[in-house]
Order: sequence, then C-alpha cells, then structure tokens
Amino acid sequence: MSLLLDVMTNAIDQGYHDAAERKAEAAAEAGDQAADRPARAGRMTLGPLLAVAVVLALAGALFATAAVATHRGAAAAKRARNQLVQQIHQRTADADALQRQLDELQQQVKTARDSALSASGRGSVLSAEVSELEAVTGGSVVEGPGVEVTLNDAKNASGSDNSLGTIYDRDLQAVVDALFASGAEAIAINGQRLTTRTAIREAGDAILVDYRPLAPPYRIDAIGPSDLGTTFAKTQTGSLYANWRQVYGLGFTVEPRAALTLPSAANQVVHYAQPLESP
Amino acid sequence: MIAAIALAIGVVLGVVFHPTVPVGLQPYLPIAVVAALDAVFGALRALLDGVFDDKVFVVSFIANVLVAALIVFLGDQLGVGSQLSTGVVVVLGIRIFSNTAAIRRHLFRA
Repeated sequence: MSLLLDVMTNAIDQGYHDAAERKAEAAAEAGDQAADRPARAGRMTLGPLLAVAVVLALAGALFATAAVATHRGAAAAKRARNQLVQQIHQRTADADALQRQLDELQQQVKTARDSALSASGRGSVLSAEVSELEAVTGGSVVEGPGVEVTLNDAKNASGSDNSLGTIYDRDLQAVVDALFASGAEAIAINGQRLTTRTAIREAGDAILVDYRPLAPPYRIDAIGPSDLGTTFAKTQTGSLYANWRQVYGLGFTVEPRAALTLPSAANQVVHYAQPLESP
Repeated sequence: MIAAIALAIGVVLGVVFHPTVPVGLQPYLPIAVVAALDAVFGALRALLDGVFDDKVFVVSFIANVLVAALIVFLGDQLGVGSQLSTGVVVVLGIRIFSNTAAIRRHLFRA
C-alpha cells in the first residue's frame, strides 16, 4: 500500500520541486530579495514559452488523434457487421430462390417420368412403385391426416440460468423418434421434411434441421394413423413432455389435424450407395 | 492563456488532418494519451502551486509518453502487455485524480 500512498501524496512531478529549489538557491546567491518565496512562473522568455506551446499542441494533437482513431474504429466495426448481416440475408434469399427452382425442376422431372412410364403396362406398375417409395423417403409432397406437435421455450427461459425450460435439439429428436415409433409415416419440422438422412442438431443457440436454422416455436407435423395423437401421448416421451409442461412451463401441445400437407425434402442426393442392377 | 490556445490548436490540427496511426503503434496510443494527460494535469497543478518550470514540463511530457509506451512494448514482448498496461493506467490514473483534486482545491478553495 505504501507504493500507492506514495503515488497519491507525491502526485506532482518531483522535478518541479527540485527546479523551484534550484531557482530559489540561485536567487539567494544573487542576493535577490525574493529568495524566501518560491520562484513564480510567468516571467518566461520567448524560447521556453514556445517549447511549452509546441509540447501542448503536440498533446492536443495526440488527444484528437486518439479520439478520431477510436471513433473511426467503432464505425468500421459497425460497418463490417452490417455488411455481414446483409450478406446473410442475401445468401438466405439466394438459397430460397434456388430451392424453389429445384422444386420446379423436380416437378418437371416427375411429370416427364410419369408420362414416359404410362406408355406401357409394366411402366405404370413401376410408376406406382416409385410414387410409393417417394412418399416414404420424403421425395415427394404428401398429404393426409395426422397430428401437429408444437414445442416452445418456457416463457421465462430467456435468462441463461433457466436451461430447463429451453428446447434443445435432443428434445426435437426425442419427439420425432416417438412419433415415428407411434406410426407416423412422414414428418416435417417447421416445413423441413425429414428423411432418413436429415440431421437435427444444435449450432450455437440455433437448432438446425437439414442444416437450416429454425426459430421457436417448433411445429412438428406428422402424418399417420388416426390414433397417432393418442398413441404418441401414451409413449414415455409423450408423458414426459406433458409432465415438463406442468413443471417447467414448457410449450408443448399435441393437436390432431384432419389434413396436413408436407413438402418434399430439399436434399435427396445419394453419394455412395448405388441401386442394385435388376436381373 | 497561450497554453490553452496551443492545446486548442493541437486538437484542431489533429481533427483536421487526423493522421493515420501506423498499425504497429496503435496499441501504444491509449497509453501515450494517458501519460500525456498525466503530464498536462501535473503541469497545471505545478502552475497553480507556483513551481511550474518549462524545462521540467517539456522533458517530463516527452519522457512520460515514451516510457509508458516502452513499458507496454516490453510487456508485449514478454507476454504481460495487457497486465502492464493496466498497471500503467492505474498508477497514472491515481496521479491524474489526485492532481485534479489539488487543482480543484486551488480553484474553488474547497
């Protein structure tokens, strides 16, 4: 502490006192009457005055430069951030446009294939088989009765300490698994159709389904038998989430729907597996 | 009076020309600013105490700025740059604070 005390009590530069003492001694030697009082400033000649003025101007320039540099740095950071946000919006819009184009082209391919196959009897059998497989694998738009399950963060979950009321990727995974186990044939989360290769995972604070970030509330549409809702509610997962809705205020509803339409999956490319040549 | 005018001229020059600080020197700018503030407030207090000396002011200003930057540079080379900057800011901050307190006592007698 003595170091800090020293800094506080001797805040003024020691050099000023030394210089004042030297001046006083010089004055005393010269027999000046002013020897007993400190030398007063203000009798400076032009040279030293200029030096002080130059140094003070330097200090002013230093302060101004620092202030300008700081503000310019903040402005540059803000500009860069805005540019990034703009890029994100732009790229998302581009991806959406490409997805629409893909949907259109897939529809064209389907139409062309169907018309080519319908020419022969064997072709129409194949055509029926293909559309059945597409419905199962997520390759085509499907409709039918089912349930709509919504999951949402608890109302007071925004605080970082309440992770119990927050929906994570594993919650969506559990509900989807339970729905499939209850007999669901096709499932989509917030309009993203699930296939056998769709990943439900977490990146940062966002849940990604098929690598697209989703925002709560999460709406899980499942097409299946008429008793899908009751079967799902009876599963371990269904009763667990109903319990957590009561305990943690989690948003969780299961509603039967007479008619649901699920889009086709975006990503259907198979890289490694190859179909067996028919004998 | 002349001192205040010189300071104002410096600020205006800095704002008008806003010289770009080389990237290598940028980390030392804040420390240099704190050291310069300390020297200027110290000089103002010395003036009010009646012990101001032009030579001491010029030498202490330039030396303070250079030494503060040098300490931080040395710290950067040894991996304790941010800690040493904090130390420099604390010590100079205390000095600035007690000097402004002394100036306040001179001006307002309170």
